[in-house]
Amino acid sequence: MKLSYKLSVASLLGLGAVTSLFLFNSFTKNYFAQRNGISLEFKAIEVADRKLDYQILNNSFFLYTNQDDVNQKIKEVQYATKTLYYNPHLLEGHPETRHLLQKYTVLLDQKIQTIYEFQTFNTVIKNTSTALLVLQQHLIEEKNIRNHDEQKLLEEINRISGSILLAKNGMDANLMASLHLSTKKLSHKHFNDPKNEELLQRALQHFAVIQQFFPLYINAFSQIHNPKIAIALANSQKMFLDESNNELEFINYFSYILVILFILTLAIIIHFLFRTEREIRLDTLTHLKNRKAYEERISRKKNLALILININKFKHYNDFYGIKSGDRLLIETAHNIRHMKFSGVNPTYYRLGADDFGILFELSSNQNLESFAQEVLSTFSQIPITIDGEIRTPSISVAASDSMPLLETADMALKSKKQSNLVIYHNGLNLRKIILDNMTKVHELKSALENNRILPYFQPIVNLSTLSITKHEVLARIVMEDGSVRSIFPYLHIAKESNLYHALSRTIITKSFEVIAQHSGDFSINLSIDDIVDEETTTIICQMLRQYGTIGQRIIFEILESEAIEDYEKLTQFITLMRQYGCRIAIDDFGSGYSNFAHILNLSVDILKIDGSLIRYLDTNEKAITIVETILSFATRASIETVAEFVHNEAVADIVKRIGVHSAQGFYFYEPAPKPIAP
Amino acid sequence: MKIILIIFIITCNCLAAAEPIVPIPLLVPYNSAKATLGKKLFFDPILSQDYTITCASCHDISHGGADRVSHSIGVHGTQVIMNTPTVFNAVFNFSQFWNGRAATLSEQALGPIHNPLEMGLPLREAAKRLEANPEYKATFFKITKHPTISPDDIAQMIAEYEKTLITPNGKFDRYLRGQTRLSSDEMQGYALFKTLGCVSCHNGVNVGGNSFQKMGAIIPIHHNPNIDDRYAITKKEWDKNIFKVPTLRNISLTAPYFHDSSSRTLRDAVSKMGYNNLGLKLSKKEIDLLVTFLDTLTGERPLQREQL
Repeated sequence: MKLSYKLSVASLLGLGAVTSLFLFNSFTKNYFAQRNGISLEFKAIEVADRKLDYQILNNSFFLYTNQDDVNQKIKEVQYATKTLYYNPHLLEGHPETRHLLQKYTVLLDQKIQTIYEFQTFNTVIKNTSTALLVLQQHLIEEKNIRNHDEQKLLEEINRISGSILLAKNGMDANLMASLHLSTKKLSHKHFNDPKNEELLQRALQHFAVIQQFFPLYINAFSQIHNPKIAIALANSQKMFLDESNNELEFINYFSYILVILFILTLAIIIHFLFRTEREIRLDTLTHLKNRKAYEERISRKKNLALILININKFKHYNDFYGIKSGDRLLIETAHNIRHMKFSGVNPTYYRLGADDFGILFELSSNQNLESFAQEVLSTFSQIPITIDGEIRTPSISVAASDSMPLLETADMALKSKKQSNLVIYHNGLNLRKIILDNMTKVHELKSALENNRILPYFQPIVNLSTLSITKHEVLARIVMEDGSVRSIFPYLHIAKESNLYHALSRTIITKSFEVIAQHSGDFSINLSIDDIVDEETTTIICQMLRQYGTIGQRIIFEILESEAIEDYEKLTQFITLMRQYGCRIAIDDFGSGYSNFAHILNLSVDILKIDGSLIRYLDTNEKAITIVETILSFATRASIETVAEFVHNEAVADIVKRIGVHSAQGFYFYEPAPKPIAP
Repeated sequence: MKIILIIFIITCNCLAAAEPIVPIPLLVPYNSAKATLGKKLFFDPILSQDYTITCASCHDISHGGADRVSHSIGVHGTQVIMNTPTVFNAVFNFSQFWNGRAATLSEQALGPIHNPLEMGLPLREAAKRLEANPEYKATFFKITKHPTISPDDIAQMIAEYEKTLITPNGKFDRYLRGQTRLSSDEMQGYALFKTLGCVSCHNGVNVGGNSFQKMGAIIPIHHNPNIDDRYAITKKEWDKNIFKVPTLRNISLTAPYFHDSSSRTLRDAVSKMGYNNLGLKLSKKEIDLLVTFLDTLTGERPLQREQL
C-alpha cells in the first residue's frame, strides 16, 4: 500500500475524529446553553409569579395602592410563561413539559381572573373600612349624644368598627363572623337625633357589606396563593429535567461512540505503521524478506549460517525472455525457495541481490553446513518452475558460509566457484587473499599507468622455411616499482573490472606505434573485442595509422578468437576500415575457443594463430597433431597464413615445421624483449 | 377611644406609602408612519357604512376624547346604549370597553367599526374599501408590506395613533413631579379623595382604568340587563353592574358621566359615587373640594400638543 494513501486515510480519519469532536462539542455547548436558558425561563416565571403574589399582598395590606402595578405584574408572568411555552427547544423535544406548562397556564389564567375579583372585594373592604372611620368621626363630631344608652350605642359602634379593622388586617374570618350577632343586635337600636340615626344606618349598611364580602375576599386571597399553582409550575420544570436527563444519556452514549471512534482511528493508524514497518523489510517483487530484514536478523542472532542461492546466467535469461518474464522467474524461484523442504533450524528467507536469494538458519557446531547446502541444491531442482507453459527451472549455484560476515563470505565463495555449482566457504579458499591481491593489483596497475611504467615488449616471429625473423608480436609488460618486469596477463581481468582497461590498451597501442615507426618489419598488435567496439580506441588507432604514413602495411591486428563475439557487424566494419590502411587481420588463439570456421571465412582474415594449448602438446599428444593438421588444411584451402604459438622446444619446432605451419614464435626461438630485433 | 387611636395610627402608616397616582409620561413611544395613517383613518368616514361617521364623531378630540351627548349617534341615527368612554389615555387602561372585553387598543379599535349601532361596516368591507383607495393601498403597503390590507392592519394603525392621544402635564401631574403646588382646596380635595376611599378604585396613571369594580358596592343600584357589564361576558350573578373603573383623567371635560350617562354634572357623579360606592353622604363642602381636586387632572389636549 502506498504511503500517501495511508497518510490520506489516516488524516481523513483524524479529520473525521476532529470534526465529530467539534460537532459534539458545539452540540453539547448548544444543548447546555438551551437547557440553562429554559431553566432560567422557568425561574423567571417563578419570580414573576412571586412578585405578583407580593403585589397582591401589598394591595391587600396598604390602603392606598396603585393597581397598575398588579396589572403590570400580571403582564410579566403572562409574558414569561408565553416565552417559555414557545421556546423552540421546548417545542422540539419536550411535549410533556409543555403539556404540564399548559396546565400551569390554565391555573394562572384562573388566578388572574380571581385577582380581578379580588381587586373588587379588596376595594370594597378598604372603602368600608375607610367609610367606617369617617362615619365614627361624624358621630363624634355631632356631640349630641343624649343619654347613657346612646353613649353605649356609640361605644358598641366603635367596638365593632375596631374589630372589623382588626379582623381585616389579621385576615381573621372567625373574628369577622363573630361580629355578626353584635351587628344584628345593633340593628334594633336607634338614635334620637335624625342625623345620628342616619349615620347609624350607614354604619349598619357597611357592617352588612363587609360581612358579606369578607369571606369572598379571604377565599379569593387564598385561591390566589393556592400552592397548587406553584406545584403545577414545579411539575413542569421537574418534567423538563427528567426529559433532559434522557437527552443527557444520549449525549453520554454519543461521547462513548466518539471515544470508540478515536480508539478505532488510533488502531488503524497503528496498523498502518506496523504494516509500513513490515513493508520496509519486505522485497516488493518476491515478498521475501529484504536486505534490511537480513541485517537486523544477523545483528540479533548468533550461530547463524547463510546459504546463498544465485540463478545462473540470469542476465541471459532476462535478455532472452524479457524483464517481465525475468521478474516471473524471480518470483517463482523465490516461491520455490520459500516452500521447498529445508531441514535447517529456524530458517528465514531473503532476497539479497538481483538474483541472489538467501536462507539464514541456526547452525549448531555438530551440524554439517555442506549437507544443508547440498540439500538446497538437490531439492530446488526437484520442483519444476513453469512459466508461460514451459518448464524453465533455472540452474542455480549455491554457496554456504558460517563465517562472519556471512553475506560477504558466501558471496566470495559464490564468485569463486569453478566447476561445481556448490561452494562452501572455508578459510582454505583463500578468498580473502584473492580479494586482497586484486586490490594490490589494481593499485599497482594504476600506479604503473600514471608513472609511464607500461611498456610494449616484442616477441619475434620466425619464418619456418627460412628461419628468419619476419615479424614481431607486441606484448604488454608492466614494470614494477622495484624495476622488475611482469606479464600484463594477470592484470587484464583486474583492468576490465576496475575500468582501467581502455587506458591500458591505448597506452600500449600508442607506444607500440612509436616503436614500430622506428623499426622495419611487420608487427602484430593484440586487440580485444572491447577495444574494437570502443570508439575512442579505434579513433586513436586510425589517427596513428594516418600519422605514421604507410605504417599500416606493416601492422597486423590480432583479434582474440576465444572471446564470445556478439557484435560481428562492428567487427566487420573495423576490419574493413583497417584494410583501407593496408592492415592485415589475424585470429589469435585459434582452436581454443569457438573456432567458428564460417566466421573466419566471412571475415576473410589473413593469418590464423594456432592456440598455444594445442601447440604445447604436439610432441606428446597425437590428437593435438590431428587438430592442428585439420586447422592447417582449412587455412591452406582458404589461403590463410598460419602461425604457431608457444613453441617451447625443438621437438615441437620440428613438428610444426613438418606439418606445414608457416611461422612460429615461442621461447624456443626468442623471448619477448623491449626492442624488436632487426631481421 | 384607644381603638380610634390605633385606627388613626394604621391609617397614617398607610398614608406613608407611595402616592397611588402616577403622572402620565410625556411621550409613549410610537411608530410615526403608522400613527399618521391611524390618524387619517380616525378622522375618515370611509370606515362607516354610509360614509357619515368617523371615530372622531364620538371620540371628540375637543371634548376630552368623549362624546358630548349621553348616547352617541351611530349610522342611520341609531343611539348607542353605553356612554362613550374617552379615547384619551386609553393606552394606559388595563383593558378596553366598559366591561374590559378587549385586552388591547387594536382589539378595541375594530369593535365600533363593525358594530351595527355604531359605524356598521363589516370589517372585510372596510378592508376592501381601503384597498380600493389607491392612496390608502399604497400607504398601507409601504408600512406593512402585506399584499392586501387586513382588518388587523387597520386596527394596528388606529391603535398606534391612539398612543399619541395622551394628556400629560395636568396640574396634578406637575404637582406629583414637584413642578407646581396645589392650592389649599385642591390639597384638601386630594386628601379627601384618599381618605374617603375614592383612591381604592381610582389610582395608577389613569386614576382608574386598572381594575373591575361594582357600581353600587355599598348601596346597590338597579341592574339594566341591556348594558355591557361584566355579567354580559361571564353571566355570573356576582358580575352584574361590575365595570372597568373609568379614568378620572380630564374628567371635568367628559360629561355626561357613568356607563349610562346618568349624571350630567361632575358634582352629581361625585355625590352618587360617595353614596353608592362608599356608603357615605358627602357634604356640599366635600363635593366642592373633590371636584376642585378632580379639575387638576385635566392635562394638555393632544390637538394642542400636535405631535404628529
